[in-house]
Amino acid sequence: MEPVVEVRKISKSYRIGSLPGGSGRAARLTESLTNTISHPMRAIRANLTTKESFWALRDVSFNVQQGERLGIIGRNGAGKSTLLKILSQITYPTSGEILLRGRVGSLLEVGTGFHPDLTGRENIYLNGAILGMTRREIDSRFDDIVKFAEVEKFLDVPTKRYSSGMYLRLAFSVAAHLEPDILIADEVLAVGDQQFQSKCLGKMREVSEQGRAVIFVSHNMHAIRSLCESGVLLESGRLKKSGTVDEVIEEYGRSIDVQGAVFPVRAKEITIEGLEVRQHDIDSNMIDGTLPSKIVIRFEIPTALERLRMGVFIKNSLGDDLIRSYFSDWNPDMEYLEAGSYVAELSFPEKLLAPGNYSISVSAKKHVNVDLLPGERVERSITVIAPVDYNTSGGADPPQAEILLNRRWEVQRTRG
Amino acid sequence: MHDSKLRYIRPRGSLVEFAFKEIWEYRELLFFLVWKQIKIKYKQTALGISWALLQPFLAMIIFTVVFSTLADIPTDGINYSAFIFTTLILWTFFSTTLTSASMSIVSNAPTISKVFFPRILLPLSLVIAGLLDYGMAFVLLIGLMLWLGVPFSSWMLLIFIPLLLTIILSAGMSFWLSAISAKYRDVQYITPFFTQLLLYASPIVYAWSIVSKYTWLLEWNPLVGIMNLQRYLTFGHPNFPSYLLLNATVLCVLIFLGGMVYFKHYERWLADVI
Repeated sequence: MEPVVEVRKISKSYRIGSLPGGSGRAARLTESLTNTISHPMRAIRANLTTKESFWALRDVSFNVQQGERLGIIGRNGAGKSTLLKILSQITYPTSGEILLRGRVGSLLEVGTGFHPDLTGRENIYLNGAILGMTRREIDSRFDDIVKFAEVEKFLDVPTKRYSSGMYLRLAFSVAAHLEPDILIADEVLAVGDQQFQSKCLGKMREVSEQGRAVIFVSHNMHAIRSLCESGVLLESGRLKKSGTVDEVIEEYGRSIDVQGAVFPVRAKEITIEGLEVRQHDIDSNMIDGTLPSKIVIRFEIPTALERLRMGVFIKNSLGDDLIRSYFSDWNPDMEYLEAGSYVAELSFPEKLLAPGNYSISVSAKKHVNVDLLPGERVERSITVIAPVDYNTSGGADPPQAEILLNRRWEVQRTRG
Repeated sequence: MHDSKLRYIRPRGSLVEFAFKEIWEYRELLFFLVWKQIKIKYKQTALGISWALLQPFLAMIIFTVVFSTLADIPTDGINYSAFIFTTLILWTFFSTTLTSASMSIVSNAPTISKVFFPRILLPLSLVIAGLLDYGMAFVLLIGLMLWLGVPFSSWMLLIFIPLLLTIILSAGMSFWLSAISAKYRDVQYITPFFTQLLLYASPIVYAWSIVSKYTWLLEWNPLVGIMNLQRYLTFGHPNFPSYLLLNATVLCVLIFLGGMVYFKHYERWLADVI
């Protein structure tokens, strides 16, 4: 059977300075006219010389079959969003082509085009039309949309009075009833509570069981693994790997270990044999923020060490130390170790680090400040995936803080 | 609505593209966008529907006081208030739709960067939504003429022609301005100034017959022909220079088609720049 999506050598370049969401301020017409008038030659030259460009995607090709659920993964800036935008015709490729066999429904954001002053009923029609449904299609699916969203009682209330949960449910429900041949979804599951997320996943699985293709992008590897059967890994705009979802996720885990140390790291008084970050008993660079993980250091010391200060530092992507944890913390006995081979395990709590990239490095000192690993950087990078229910304000925004507090607020109404 | 067969996504189409086919294909969405504009407008403003009438009506009173009572501007023998109200309502339609439609791309940036539909529907829907206000203001014009005892011309049956030209002009200019303002944000400050200038460069609050200098320059303004026609059809205005109508029609169509081509050309980069 012919694939429903054929992506053939797609490339996309942005001029530096016009990157989406870039820091470049909006251009001014008056300014550019003044420049052209006062320095005509310079303006012409500037237009003629090719400006520096940035390739967000480079020669990416893959196919999607009917009924296939494909996950697209990669680090931030790997080109996932650009690829989705091209697939949804929001932006156009610089070269290459995509062939689509069937109607495309794309869901890059929940609630696109919702207007807060319009009622739920009005927004269903408006949003449905924006997403590409005909009036008749909306009419015939109206009851299903309302039922799935569980907003029957609030249909004629302006959506600005909706709780965020109701708003999300309604928005997803409209999109989920689009019934396209090819459904493209981005991070929709990063919002809403767990029950809602599993409901969304269920709906998307249902969509593909009806023989439709689903292309799904998420940072949530659990969601990807549970929904998709095949995957595509992007790295710096290029296709790194395509295959079954497990193969691709495994490759991803390996690929993000960029400046990791090569073990064993040998020094005079200590040999570090390994630094692992384990979750589900697998060493991985991807940490699901919802679950606890384990940091494991394997090392060997030829002679006994006294007044030992050994453990890990966790740094953010800017290199600031966020956490220091030594064996001897809360446990003074660990200041002294006999010669031998050791395995040190630290259970690392869930819901502590905000989603993002971090590095873990091993530090070992004796007599408080004599470095046992002079000149060595025993470190590896990890990516923490947003914990379920942690509100990352829409999913795509960078969180404003790095340390999460795994506590709930008690909010009580004291006056009616 | 979408083509359910094959669809290609490719780097670039031809240099000159029109949007008539996609506007027809997406006519239902256009209808929904117009409907949304009207709904929101009357939900948000406390004065609601009466604002559409108040705006040209207050302008008419001010201009009557200034130009008729104080300056005594000749009006070819027609009551000044009625004489300017017929052009003022058309002007109000033109200037309000132009102002809102030229901002339509910038103000819908979040939607544009998240979902595909022909972008040209955004400025177009705002121009069409303005028709409701015009219709109500037109009823007010009839009431005013009856009250003032101004005789109707039988030509009034053709009053839709200047309106049609204004729609084409307003849409055409919004295509240009909305695309340019996505790239150059200061266009939104230039547009109101420019429209203000057009108000005085067009025979809206005065008669074309009093213009004696620079007519060769002013005739490039398509609103000159449109406003003259509006008056002629309302009152059976005695001296209507018909070449002005031809002028205006050609200019409006050129601005419209040029704007559409420019908009289509620019559309492909919209999501990358806003």
